[in-house]
Amino acid sequence: MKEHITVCPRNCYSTCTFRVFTEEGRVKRILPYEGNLATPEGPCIKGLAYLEREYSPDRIIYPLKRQADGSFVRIGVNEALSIIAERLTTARERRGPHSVLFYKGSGYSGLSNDIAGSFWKLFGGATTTYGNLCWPAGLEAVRLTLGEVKHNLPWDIANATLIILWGKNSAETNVQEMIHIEKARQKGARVVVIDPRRTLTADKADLLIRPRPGTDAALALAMARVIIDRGLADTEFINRHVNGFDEFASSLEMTPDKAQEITGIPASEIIKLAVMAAGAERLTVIAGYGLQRYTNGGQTIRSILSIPVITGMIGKSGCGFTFANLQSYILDDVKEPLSYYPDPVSDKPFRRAISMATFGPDFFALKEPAIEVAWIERGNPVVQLPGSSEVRKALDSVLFKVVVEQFMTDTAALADIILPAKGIFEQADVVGSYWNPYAQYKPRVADPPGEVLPESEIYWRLAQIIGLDGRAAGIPAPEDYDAWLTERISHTPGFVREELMQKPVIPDQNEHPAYGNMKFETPSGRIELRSDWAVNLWGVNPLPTYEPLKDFGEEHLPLRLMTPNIASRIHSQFGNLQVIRSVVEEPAWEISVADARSRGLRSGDMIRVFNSRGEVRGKISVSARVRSGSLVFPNGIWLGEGGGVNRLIVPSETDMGHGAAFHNTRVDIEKLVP
Amino acid sequence: MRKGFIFDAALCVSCKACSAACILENGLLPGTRSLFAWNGHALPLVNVINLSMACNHCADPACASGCPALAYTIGPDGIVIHHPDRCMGCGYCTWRCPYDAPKINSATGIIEKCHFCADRTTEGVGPACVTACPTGALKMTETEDFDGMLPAWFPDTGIKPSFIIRNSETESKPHTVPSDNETHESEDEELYPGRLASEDAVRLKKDWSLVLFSVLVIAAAVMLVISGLSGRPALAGSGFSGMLPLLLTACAMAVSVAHLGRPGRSYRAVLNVIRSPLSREIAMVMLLGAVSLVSWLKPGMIPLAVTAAIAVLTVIAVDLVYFAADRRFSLRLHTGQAFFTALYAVTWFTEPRILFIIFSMLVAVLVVMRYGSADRGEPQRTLYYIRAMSIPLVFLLIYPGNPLTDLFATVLFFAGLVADRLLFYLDFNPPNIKETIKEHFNTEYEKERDKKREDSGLS
Repeated sequence: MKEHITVCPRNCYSTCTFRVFTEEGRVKRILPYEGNLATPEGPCIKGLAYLEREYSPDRIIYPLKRQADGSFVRIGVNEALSIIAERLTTARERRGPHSVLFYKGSGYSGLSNDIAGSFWKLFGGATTTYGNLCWPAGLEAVRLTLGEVKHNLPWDIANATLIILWGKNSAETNVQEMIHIEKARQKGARVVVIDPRRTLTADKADLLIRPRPGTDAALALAMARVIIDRGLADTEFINRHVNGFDEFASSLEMTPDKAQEITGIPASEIIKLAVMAAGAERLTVIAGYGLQRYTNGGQTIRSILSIPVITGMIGKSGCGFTFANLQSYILDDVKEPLSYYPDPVSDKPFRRAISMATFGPDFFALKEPAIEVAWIERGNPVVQLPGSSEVRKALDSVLFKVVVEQFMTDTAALADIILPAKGIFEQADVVGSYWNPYAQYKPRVADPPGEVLPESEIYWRLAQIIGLDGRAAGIPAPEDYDAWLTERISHTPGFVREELMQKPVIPDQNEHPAYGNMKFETPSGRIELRSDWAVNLWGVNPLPTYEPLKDFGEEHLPLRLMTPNIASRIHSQFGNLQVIRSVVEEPAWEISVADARSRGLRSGDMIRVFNSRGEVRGKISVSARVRSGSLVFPNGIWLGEGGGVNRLIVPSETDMGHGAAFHNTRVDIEKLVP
Repeated sequence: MRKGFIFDAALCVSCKACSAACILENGLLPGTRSLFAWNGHALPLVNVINLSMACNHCADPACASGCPALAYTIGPDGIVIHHPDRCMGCGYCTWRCPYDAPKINSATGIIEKCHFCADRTTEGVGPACVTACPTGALKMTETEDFDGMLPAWFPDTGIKPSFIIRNSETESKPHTVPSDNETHESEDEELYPGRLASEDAVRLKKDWSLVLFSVLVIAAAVMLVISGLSGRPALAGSGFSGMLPLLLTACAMAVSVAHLGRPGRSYRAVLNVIRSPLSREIAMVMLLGAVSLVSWLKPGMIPLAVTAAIAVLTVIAVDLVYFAADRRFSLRLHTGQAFFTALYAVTWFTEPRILFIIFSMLVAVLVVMRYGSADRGEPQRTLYYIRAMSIPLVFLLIYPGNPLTDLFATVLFFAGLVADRLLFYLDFNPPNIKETIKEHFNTEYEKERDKKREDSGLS
């Protein structure tokens, strides 16, 4: 068997490096790659499942065309591309290029994705989405405060003496982080988890603080106030590096008593926690993404970030604020989070954009031209976008839809033409990560099955059929793809190209400890607790504040709906695989003991979950892992599996960054009588 | 040097990558490596316990020693290998193994078990579950001695598992704030930290043929013993009744062969008479069949005492199959065991009557004692009623010779014996360490809960 080093290109913190062994163009075995210090052990259950995923009998490996009766029939690649080209050019001629919707999800990461952008520019433009479903409120909050979004090397957590995992469930979403946390614990560090849920991560903690969902900013600001009032702030650090501290300090009306009212955490415990954080020799605060998917998400992250700032825990080993580390994205043209914002200048002639978070309403509010052709790749919007019933309706209204997919997802099922998507082993690429500090080369190690074409080739051939000069626009011919990729990584300093093509490398520009040089790319060049950008760009308070959640007229509904990610899936990917299904329990709606008792519910009862957007039915599971007042169901589960929880989500943006405020949603439940 | 697994509980986050890797690598049944999580719903009084376990490749493997077909071998590195081509699918190893490692695959009819990824090991690559573990919680090791490497809560099974568990201190649970908004206790079964599986009815449905087998064997043995004691066939007269023990034994053998996953390999059942109680049982039943045949063809050729002795040894062999899998003392007191059932049946047919009456009294005491301590599911309750009804039938014998009461008594007596044999199957519970661990932690949980209640009662 031949051995290769490769990387998982999913939308995941870990971005694991692993070794694959191939025989006759087929991957036979997956083993860990110890050389990546962030992920030195095995990949997660999903990474292992590639052994099934890439060779699943359910994988779509030929172009499919919808017939009049709704079923799909296999067609040739040329026929499929000709039909698509014809529909695209007709739409462009009749109503202009903005009558074509180009939607991409986060299902596959890599430089090759840029080719899609090149094509649609070449085509004359398209309607696209802006914003991002996942993390932009927090990214923007960190950028406003620290200028750039980065953090220490993942294994540096082992040097912390106090780790606060704030809303992060590493055990399920970034499992290798637990290795480094456990190392810190072995050296005597204390681990605090702040989360309404008792997560699998919290099982490993010394202390679990369970605030009401969406109230984290109140907790953080009360802690900041205690730290400042008791003179525990690092005045020297603040004087040298922080802007707006005095204003911040005098704005803090959030007393522990007030925070107790809001968060449900006793004031005495808030004080204890604040004193513990301030007294820690080396404090690392790790914030998750769930807690910023609220209408107050950006302000929440700014509030939490104030704790390591006022205690002087920035720019040192074992310390810091871990939200995302964009330092491995050295090759991206537009750095995140800026790439999520609608760009009024450079994009304008090409691009008309609607918000991802409010896709449904935005779609129906589109003025001329209406969407005639939709192209969807790397995503499953029918399940993953907020308010997904409306999203489905929107897509249903489009006359002709192309979906590039590996499996018959709920979105693919709506398509007129399905083009088979490449597997992860079937095309070379370069993959960055938002946690793993390495830039990683992903070689082509396996042959694509059937008539699978990588997207680069789909676009190349489509351009040819339409009569466009792909080469000039930066779309490589199939035989030139490897040269294109090599060229793409040849001009960026910071690493040796040949080395990158052999194993993961940490680029020279990776700064560790992050912000160690105490230079901050903010307007003032210092850490900004007070931010004018915050006001100018997003219209929020210049200082970190606690903003009560918007409830969109549904205050009367008793339960806050939490839709976390779980270990066995990346959003809507992987849950369809046999191996996952055979070891993971069927998902159920989790409810707290108190809420179950008061409603006479028992585990296994069928319930109806509803709000003004609709209802979803399923089984209930009573669990002490859930805080009273909330209901938990994982996102990403397909409609046919009893999922589609996003039908209940109110489409709304976060306070900054154009993120999606998934978790603002309120619901009620009712027992279904069998 | 022996190979074995090391499990670090502090690093395990219950992600199930190990289980998935096993399925992907070996195509074995889900559960060949399984993740056991106690207190999965995280009741705050006690900690959550994760444990990933497959075969522990014991130094004294109960599966291998008990296998009648010699389907197991032990490698020089201590790895216990099951050979599918030698397995007849009797499932006896699933009873013997306290770790629930061998599983019967209903599609192939034979056993599947962790083989420490034998092919990979020869290549110098660790087992799939080990290389898959994303946190390094599961590792392999080679050492001479695995003694004393398991926590106190992991029961000693006496078969020397090659397994090490680290960092499993059960008291380290997160301090939770606020603590008062969630329940501390639950009488609800659904929330109980470790529910014990109750598969009695399922087991009886699956193993009914084994009950039938033993009933047939006991019947044949009883007839031969009676003829041995009385010097004449148990049922007077005709040729048919002389042939009856042979017929019963033949039926028993047929039932037992049919129950195998691979009936074609049933000849393997007697390959391990030296160590396997099951091999010995089958050998004894075959001997019983031979004796029955000879007794039918040439009555009187074999001394009756010898016939009776073989019959007695056969029912004892039947019992030993069960006693070797479930070592609890309570099972040895069970009135449904083959030896006791046979003996009791013999007293029904023989004089003096006082023996039968003494036995009936003994049965009454033992059955009542058992009833008091047993868990009573649906099949148990019904069987107990039948069993109990047959106990006072001594009173029906006050007027022997009345055809009506005699018939009624006979039917009732034998129904009681069969019910008791069925109850023996339900009470027979080969040890499953996961259940034992659950019980242990449930007791700990109850202690904590009662303490909490007491505290709140005082305040």
